[in-house]
Amino acid sequence: MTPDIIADNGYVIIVVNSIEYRQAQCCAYSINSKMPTSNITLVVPDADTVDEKYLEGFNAVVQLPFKQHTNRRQNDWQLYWCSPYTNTIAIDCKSLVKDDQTSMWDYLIDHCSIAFPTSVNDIRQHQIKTKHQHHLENEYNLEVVYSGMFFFKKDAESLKHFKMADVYFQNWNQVYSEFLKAQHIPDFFEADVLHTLVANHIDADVTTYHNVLSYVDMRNSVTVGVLGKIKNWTDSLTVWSSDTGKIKIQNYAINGTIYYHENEFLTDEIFSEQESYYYNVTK
Amino acid sequence: MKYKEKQGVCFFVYNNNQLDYVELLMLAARYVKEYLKLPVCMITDDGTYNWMLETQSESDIDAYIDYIKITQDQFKDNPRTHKDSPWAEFTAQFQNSNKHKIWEYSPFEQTLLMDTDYIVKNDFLLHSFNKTGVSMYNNALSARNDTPHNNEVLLYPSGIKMWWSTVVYFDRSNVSKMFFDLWNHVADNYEFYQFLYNFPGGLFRTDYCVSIAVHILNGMEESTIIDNFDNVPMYYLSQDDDIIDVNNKQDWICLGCDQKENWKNLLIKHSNLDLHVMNKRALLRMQDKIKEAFNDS
Repeated sequence: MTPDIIADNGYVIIVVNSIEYRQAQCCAYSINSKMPTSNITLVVPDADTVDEKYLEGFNAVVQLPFKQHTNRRQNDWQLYWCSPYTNTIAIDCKSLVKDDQTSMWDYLIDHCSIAFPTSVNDIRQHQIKTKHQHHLENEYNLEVVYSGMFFFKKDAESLKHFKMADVYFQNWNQVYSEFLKAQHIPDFFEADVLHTLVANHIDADVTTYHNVLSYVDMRNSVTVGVLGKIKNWTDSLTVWSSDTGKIKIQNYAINGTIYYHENEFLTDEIFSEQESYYYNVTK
Repeated sequence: MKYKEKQGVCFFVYNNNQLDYVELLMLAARYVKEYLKLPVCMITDDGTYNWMLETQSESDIDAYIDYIKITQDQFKDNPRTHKDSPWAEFTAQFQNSNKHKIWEYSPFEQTLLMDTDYIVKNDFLLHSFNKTGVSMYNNALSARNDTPHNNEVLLYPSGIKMWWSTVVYFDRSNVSKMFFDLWNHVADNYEFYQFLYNFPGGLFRTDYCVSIAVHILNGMEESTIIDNFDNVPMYYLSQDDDIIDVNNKQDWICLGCDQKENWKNLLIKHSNLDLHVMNKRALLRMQDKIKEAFNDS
């Protein structure tokens, strides 16, 4: 089931529907614009039906090896078996990378088998304390991880995580009921909560020095903290973009990785500006 | 460039028909001399300077003012509504649109620029002279220990952080020069930046200019190019608060007004900490007692 290894290091991005194909492509453009020699693989339910227009920016396309869950993040557990890289960063398709991550790669390869961010930030780069983080830490004494971007090697240590994730992600409803009190059970599948439960239950060290995988999490930015409680952040916050690939939200420049969550963020204008910057840098 | 002195304190002093900034200066300068022991430079216009010669004794001017710089700047029309407690208000011209020119006007190599309603009661600000670049406050606490209203923490909800131009320390480094050039640029294009940063309109506020200049200097991120006086808050008496007695030059008895129920006040003894007295008339009402306190000591 495991595909051939095509490179030492690379990114994988899972998509399951047409909106996500476009988002993943934009994410790939953003990665290539900052690191033009990057390897990026698109992970899809069916490799034969991918529209070719979405393949620009990717080095490879692989298929989910076991099952196709309609929630893309419920497929995270299969990444170990479908990544064509020895060292992989999995990144959510609703993300853009706005910095050169070469030194982060070096650190992760040297120090970690599997690593997740232990906190995320708002646009001011202030750490966000989410409601679920508060509950999981205080009520269950769990070390919370976030999963918009995470790293793993193909080794025994990370395999433990993915084997446990196989069970937990496919039976997430029962896992919630088993380990969480009714008042703390999320309404939907939450990859961050599931990865937190898996990481804590296998007792693996998945943290990094200086939390190098941390990113700007826009959904959580507007559910806690000074930005206020807004349902869709794209309704209230102003986005400024340019064909030099820059993104500013509310006057704040985004210089790391942003996990934007909302489909409305990726307008045709922003997509074409990211695309144009990618072509300028790489072609 | 040769400067007249290594270190010193500057005040902009432009009178209007409601507030005697010369009197405010004479109070603030007394405290500077007492606790910072630094030379004081008054930056003013002809009218205010002549008023000072008429109303202040020569001995006081000699004692508290070391340098006087007369400027010929044209000011924007900038009416400001002041309050004197929750129950009285008045409008006066606020002449502040040349504040960024302190870079040019200051006779000092290292300068502390202060508003005339900022009262120094300790030597904390002397530590800033060990720093390079620019320092300003970016957080504040009322004399009641309350945080300010949201629009004085951020330029607008979900906007950038507000920095106070009440006290600005700077040296003659390239960073400082860039900061003042940016301040000048923002002041010159105030309406454009108001659109871009969505801060409240009406009054021209240098606090907004410096906040935007800091944000731009930081690369549109929150960073530490500009120092915030080691994160020490600036204590202030709001325009709703009052000073009711002066026990001595350190101990003042104040009324701190409840922002939500403004008929309720807290009696506060304030001492040893610098204080930004936004209610200028409260300060002017106490001028005799303050001067007396200095004479007694």
